[in-house]
Amino acid sequence: MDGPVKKRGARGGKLSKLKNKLPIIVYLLIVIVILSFLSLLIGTTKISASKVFVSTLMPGASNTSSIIWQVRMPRLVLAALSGALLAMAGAMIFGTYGAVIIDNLVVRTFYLIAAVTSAVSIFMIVFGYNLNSLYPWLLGSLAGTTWTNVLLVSIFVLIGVIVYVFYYKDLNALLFGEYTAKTLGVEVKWVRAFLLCVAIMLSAVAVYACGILSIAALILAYFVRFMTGMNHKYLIPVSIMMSASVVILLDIFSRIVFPAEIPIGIMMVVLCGPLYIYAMQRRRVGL
Amino acid sequence: MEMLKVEALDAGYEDNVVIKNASFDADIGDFIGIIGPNGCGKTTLLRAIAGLINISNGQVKIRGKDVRRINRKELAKRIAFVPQLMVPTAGFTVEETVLLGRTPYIGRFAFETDKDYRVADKAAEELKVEHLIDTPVTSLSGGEFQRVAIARALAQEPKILLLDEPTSHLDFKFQIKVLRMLRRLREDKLIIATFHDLNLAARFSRKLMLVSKGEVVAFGRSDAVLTSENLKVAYRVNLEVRKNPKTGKLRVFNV
Repeated sequence: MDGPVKKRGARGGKLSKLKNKLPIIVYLLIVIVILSFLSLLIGTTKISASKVFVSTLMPGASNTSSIIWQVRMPRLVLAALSGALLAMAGAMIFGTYGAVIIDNLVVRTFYLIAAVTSAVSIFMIVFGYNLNSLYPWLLGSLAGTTWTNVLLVSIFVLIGVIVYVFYYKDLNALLFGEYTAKTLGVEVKWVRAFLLCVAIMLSAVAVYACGILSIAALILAYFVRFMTGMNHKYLIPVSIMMSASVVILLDIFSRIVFPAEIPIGIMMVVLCGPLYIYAMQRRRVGL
Repeated sequence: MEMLKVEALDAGYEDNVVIKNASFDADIGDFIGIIGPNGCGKTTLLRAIAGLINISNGQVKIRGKDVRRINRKELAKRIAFVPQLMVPTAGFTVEETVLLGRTPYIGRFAFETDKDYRVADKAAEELKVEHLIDTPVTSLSGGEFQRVAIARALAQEPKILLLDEPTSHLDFKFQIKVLRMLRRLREDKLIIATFHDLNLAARFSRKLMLVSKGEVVAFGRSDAVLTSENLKVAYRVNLEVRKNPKTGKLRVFNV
């Protein structure tokens, strides 16, 4: 089938490519802005929408402003950052193994991440962290987030972004199979090992932020490819935005659905469990 | 020094040696057609030359240098490989796919330059897919995508171009077109391609290599390689070789 015949101008190709992906990025940005506002609006203390708006733009000494900036804002930012971490980790894991998406290797990767995180929790138990404080961490909750948590996590988000910018070309080459990637100059073994390590590190940080169950959200990165296609140039930024929106949304839900907060980790498992089953099913029928 | 020198090469996978004791030289300007029955090791030989698989004995030298001692990036600027089955990947346009061929030239900390786009566009033109440049590869026909795959390899600006059954997905017209184009390209390249179709191989290659059970049975001008005796050894079928009076090329007939 012949596509539309187009004669391009000398150079203008790059911009027109970007334009094709722009709508999806703009939509996601709008979604994030709306969700962020809702996230700042909803909480135990009732604050009117206009007050939230004003206090957000003008952080002052007022009571509402300190609730917004010291309690809700760090929580919101951490939710978004955790989404970003999980998106990058997921995209790296799925990208590293090319066409082989959900199979034993990936399952093994999840075991590995689980192993790393259990190691962290055992470490915490051994070194005398209070078990009662461990419990919410295992289930995961964004309640009580401080700016210090946010800062720590954002450092790893930055590391993830840098690795992604330097390695998305390798991930793209790997999509075409191991041999083709090699003939394109990619040191396949090394790149796979490295990206897998980075992915595990990023997931571990996400686990630090929203609990061990949050690794369930790695699957979100898998579904973005049906929106953007496999090109990691677009796949990863869109994954980041989408996962960030999902985590913010789940965090809002965890606050409003029941009077007592449901830990975000549980929300993630509830949402992502069926996605796994769907993805496996899809793989089985070869779609 | 010759472009490619294969010396007493044993190569294969894990503990399965497929290619045994292969030796030959080739240079820029050659167009070598590798023929042989299914499973004889044609693809494995190409992979060994590209440095993709285990070499257990002997060596493959490019301008005198062992392929195993050249790093992947440098090797990718010298050798390009078009696999038999490349699957179109969702989310890539023709241009983005061809641009993949520029991967070894783009630094880790850089993006595609205008030169990369120019080389990719030229490769697309060469393969007559330039009108499809913004089309998603998933909506191409098999033949169109095969040409995109070859353009991707050309964008690597390789000195050695390896193709695994480049004509297998093409209709008759494009088989001839692609092979003519490859023949033109050999001016400044060494081209090695595997073939199923003996007649196409004989018509377009400058030299033929007959492989059977992992061994090079015959290598040289097509009239020396394409004989009933050689073909009987490799394919275990009686075939008759005649000269086409019009083109002077050899043709193989089933007896």
